[in-house]
Amino acid sequence: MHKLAPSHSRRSFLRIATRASIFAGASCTFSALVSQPSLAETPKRIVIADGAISETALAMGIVPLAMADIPGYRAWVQEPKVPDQVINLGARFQPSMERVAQLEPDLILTSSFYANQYSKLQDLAPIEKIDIYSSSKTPFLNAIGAARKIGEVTGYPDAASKLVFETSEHIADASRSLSKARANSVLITSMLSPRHMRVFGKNSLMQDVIDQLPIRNAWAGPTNLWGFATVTIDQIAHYGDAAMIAIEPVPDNVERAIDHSPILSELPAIKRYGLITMPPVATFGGLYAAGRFARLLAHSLSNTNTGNAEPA
Amino acid sequence: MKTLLRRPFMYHGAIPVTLFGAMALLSVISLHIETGSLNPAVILDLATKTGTQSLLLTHGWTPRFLIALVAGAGLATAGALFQHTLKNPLASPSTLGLAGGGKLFLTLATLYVPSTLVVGDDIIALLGAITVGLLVFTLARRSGFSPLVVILTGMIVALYCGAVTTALAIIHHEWLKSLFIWGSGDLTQDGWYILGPLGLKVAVGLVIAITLARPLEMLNLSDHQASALGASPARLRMLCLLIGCWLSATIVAAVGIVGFVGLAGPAITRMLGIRRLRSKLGYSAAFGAMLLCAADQGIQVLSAHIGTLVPVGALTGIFGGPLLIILIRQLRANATPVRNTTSTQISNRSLLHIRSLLGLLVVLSLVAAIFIGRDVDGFWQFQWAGDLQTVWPWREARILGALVAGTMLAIAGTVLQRMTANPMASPESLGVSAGAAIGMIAVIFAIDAPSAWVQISGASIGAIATLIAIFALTRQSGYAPERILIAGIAVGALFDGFIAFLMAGGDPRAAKLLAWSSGSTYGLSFDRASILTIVAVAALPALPALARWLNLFPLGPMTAKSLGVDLSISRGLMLLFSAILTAAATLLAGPLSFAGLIAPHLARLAGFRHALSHTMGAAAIGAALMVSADWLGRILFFPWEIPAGLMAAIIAGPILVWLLMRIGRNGS
Repeated sequence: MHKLAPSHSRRSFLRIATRASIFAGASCTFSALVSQPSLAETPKRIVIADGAISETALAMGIVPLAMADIPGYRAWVQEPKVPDQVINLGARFQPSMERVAQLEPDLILTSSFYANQYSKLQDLAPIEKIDIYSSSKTPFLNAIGAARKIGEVTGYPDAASKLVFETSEHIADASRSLSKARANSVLITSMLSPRHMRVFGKNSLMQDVIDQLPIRNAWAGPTNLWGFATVTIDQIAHYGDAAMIAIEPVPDNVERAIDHSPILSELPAIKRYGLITMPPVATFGGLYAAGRFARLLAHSLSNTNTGNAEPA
Repeated sequence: MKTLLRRPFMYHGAIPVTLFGAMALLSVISLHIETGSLNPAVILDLATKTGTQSLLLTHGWTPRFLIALVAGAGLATAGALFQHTLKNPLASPSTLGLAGGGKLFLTLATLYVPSTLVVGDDIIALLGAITVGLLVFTLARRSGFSPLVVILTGMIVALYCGAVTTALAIIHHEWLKSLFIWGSGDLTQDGWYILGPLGLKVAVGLVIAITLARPLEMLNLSDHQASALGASPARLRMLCLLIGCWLSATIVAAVGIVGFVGLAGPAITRMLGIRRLRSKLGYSAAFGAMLLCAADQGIQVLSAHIGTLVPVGALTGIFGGPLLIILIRQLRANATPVRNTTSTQISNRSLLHIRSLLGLLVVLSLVAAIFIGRDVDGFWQFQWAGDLQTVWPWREARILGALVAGTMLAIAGTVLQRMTANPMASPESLGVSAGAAIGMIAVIFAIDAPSAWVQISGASIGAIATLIAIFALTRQSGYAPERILIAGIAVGALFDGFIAFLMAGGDPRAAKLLAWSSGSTYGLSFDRASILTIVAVAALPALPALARWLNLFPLGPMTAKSLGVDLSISRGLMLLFSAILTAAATLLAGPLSFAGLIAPHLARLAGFRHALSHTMGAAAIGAALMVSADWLGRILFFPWEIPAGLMAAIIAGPILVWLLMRIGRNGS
């Protein structure tokens, strides 16, 4: 297969942007993104509607009073852990408004995607809209901006700087260890069945992270606003030199099919590297997920790794 | 039964030829895309070699081509068998709810006992389909498999399975991603291991059906005539249904849900004026196979240009819907209407008791919905004063919306069921609600984060456009009920296709839509609820004016005509009346509120016979049902919400089945 030249301009742009935001501080780089907090005191009763915002806030040590779909978060995002005292609001698409009202929040954090559900709460508490996946299609930069804004409105700007710094460290570490990886291009997938998968590309957080690493994402096909495409097995059959990485959970029937499905077992990527699995990462995550993804990707592609355990 | 042809056979002969041509052309193009050549020698050479491209040809393209033919033929034959047995041109493999049962079992297994998936998805789905089939058979056996009871129990079981599945899908959306693909029927293959067993099973079903076609033909006669000839209509119907179930259950288990082919195959056959059952089965199988194969090959041609998965099951809905609408003009559905014969004789005194009981039910459901909730820690609570004040702004609009929507849907459903004399008729089958939902989809996907009012405007435009289209399409026939229902089913199929396509692609906006489209009052504002309430109430005074027609139409259109009713005008007005109520209710509580189907049946089974009292009884039942469904959906799994439309099906489905059973026992 032909090999594409990694896009140097985009890569260095992202790196510079990360560093700039660490050293220059939030107020100048992201002043456009950050609105002035309208609160007299630090909010204590924070309600979060969006998974990526919950993840970012938790990574900054901010424990919300309540958030949506906690069981879903525990299964599909896992890290950072949700403390037991956080109250569940129900489905992300239909959080229980009665519960939100009863909780008397003093700040509501949401993304535009869920904002409609909360608009009636405007009189109850200020609502901050924070978007990572938007038409600007720069999820990594947006994730940095989101962390900054969360820090700003909750009164923990330093925690945001710390998270941005840690993330860039994780990416730098991963970059070092991936320079001697066993594969130099990857397909990042979420398996749905032996014949179907989501494959992540442009507009995804994973793409933005891979762009900062010395490997490349083999998938150059079209993706949606959230950075993935749902494809069938034949559409990835020709990516011979890429390692196929499946984000867990992987359905049982996929593992079994690797032995008996003629096409799956004969896929060049799988014949060469096997199906490499990776512990759950929020596929529509925030800044923490970016660092976690870099770390787990480096681990799963390192030459010494044969199992699929998470690095200690 | 007599099929009248409006045009000679030769004219209609163009349809099979076009269909075959489309299939052949698309297959050749997709084969060229797959192999890069059209030279048979090159393709043969590739097929015998090893390597990725050869593998994709021999284990991907080829079994996929064949499985489309097999599944299409089997589904269309099953559809023809169901339509024959149930004497209803709207019956299809989905009428008995087998696919719904398969999906429910797969959902439950995926969520709660994933270890069982080891035996294979197809086995679990087949178990679900068989369980549902057995349930319907048990319920229908007592009535000698009377078409009405089979259709009703099948529909209720299907709705029930669908409601539970969707409720679970809303809560556990992430876990069911792969199930959404199964549910939208993608035919991608990775070997011959699915096709082999399926081909055998379908072949067995087809051979049995065609061999037994002659005795099954007797179902065209009335039960008395058939019995006089020494046949047992009940046994014949059971046999016919069994073969249909065998075909649809094995196919759904193997390839997932592919709707519409089972309806369209027999519909084309009927258009050609084919009358003998054996020929009907054969032609249906051929048309079904060609339809599904053409659609699936078309997808493979297009897939390079589309960024996401297009499952053929979803596509058949999206293209099949408009196709059916075009066909309506030529379709002369001549099935004898299935009469609602299962009403109970009841004295006036007990009717009074039932009326007060219904009134009490409405009041009780309102009291519960207003005052009983959950506190901040999730404990059940009688809410009053301060507690009530906190949650009231979120409760008032929903209770009003549910009350009004339930009433309106029940009235619209009663009018439609009486007017069409078809027990499958419901506000949803009018297509107006699906049209509204399509408008909503368009807005959600065209505009970034549209506001509630923009969404509602989109839905309103969709509803009005659909209504105009349905009037235009059925005007020529004097608004013949079959045409209206088929047009409604076509719009419904279009909507289902869109939803299945979006769910399979995994776009997060689809999950948002799923919650709304399953009949939810969530996010209803008081302003909107009030405006729509006024619209609905303004339409109500027309009801007494319709009462005479509503009393006459269940006796058949000829009776009504001989008594001096202008069929065209009366039908048009009744249609308009129910469409306005349905549209208002859809904007209040989403497009899928089972109240409109179930309440008229419950009212009839409770003993209401005359048009006005039947309508009023249904209205009370619909109101109580929707209010309590909305309340239970809101607090039963607090803070998780089950949309009211789904909850209504979950509550009322078993009640209706129980009533049907009771009547069956009394010897109807």
